[in-house]
Amino acid sequence: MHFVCDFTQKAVVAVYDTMLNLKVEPISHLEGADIPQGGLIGMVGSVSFAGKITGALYMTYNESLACKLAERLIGEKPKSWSEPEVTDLIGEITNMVSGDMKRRTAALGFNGLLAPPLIMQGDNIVVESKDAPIVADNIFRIPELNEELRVRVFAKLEP
Amino acid sequence: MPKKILSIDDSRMVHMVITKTLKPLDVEVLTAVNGQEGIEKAEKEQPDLILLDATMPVMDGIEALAALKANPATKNIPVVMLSADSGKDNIERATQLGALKFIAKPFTGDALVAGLSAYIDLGQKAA
Repeated sequence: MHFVCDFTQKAVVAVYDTMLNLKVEPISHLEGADIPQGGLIGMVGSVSFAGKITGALYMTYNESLACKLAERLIGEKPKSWSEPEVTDLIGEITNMVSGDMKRRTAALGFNGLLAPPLIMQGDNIVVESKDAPIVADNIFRIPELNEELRVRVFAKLEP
Repeated sequence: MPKKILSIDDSRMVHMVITKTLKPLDVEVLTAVNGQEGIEKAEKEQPDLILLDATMPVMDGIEALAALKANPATKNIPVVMLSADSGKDNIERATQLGALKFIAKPFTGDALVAGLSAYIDLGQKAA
């Protein structure tokens, strides 16, 4: 596993544990050409980074997971996943995961700046990069919520 | 009299976590969602400490920090940065501009309280 992918997994586990008190287990990891074709489905939080490490991270949520996370934090179930508190939560988690991952790569000399998080929602969100040699797709299980989370990362390291 | 902490962050989730964490303490948490609003609230409310995110729309945290420290009405308010973007460059820039500490997100409640206690007496809420 490339260290960027390893750091991404560690970042997801750390953010969920620290901010949401939830244990998250990586259950699938694919890199490069092994990643299945097709777009992402659901609500996607995305953060781009640029510098010695350039790329983007995408975290994909289904409605059930997004609402469960919001309920866990706020204490009441949101009316829908389009509520601002849900999109804010998805954006901030993505921001923290990207920041944690970047902090780990920076320790190896690959620092970068983070862009503010973006939220997308749809049935076929195509994310691709023409020149990112590091591409990984991770699936995590959240046993306590009986849910799964997909995290895709594209990255290029500058010498 | 409770201490006033102004949290300047574009995320309601972060405001919520900070408010929840500091609830047992003798602290009133005020919030602002970008640097511009934060500066205005800081001038008006004169908080005992400002918690400042780095990456925000309208005016980011580094720009807001520079403005806070250049303003006679706010320059003496202690500022602690709280950001996911805790790269060396960001920390150095914030420190040069007068931030006292940089807390990285994700943060635990203990880390937040310890980080703030170094600069203000948080006390315990009266029973």
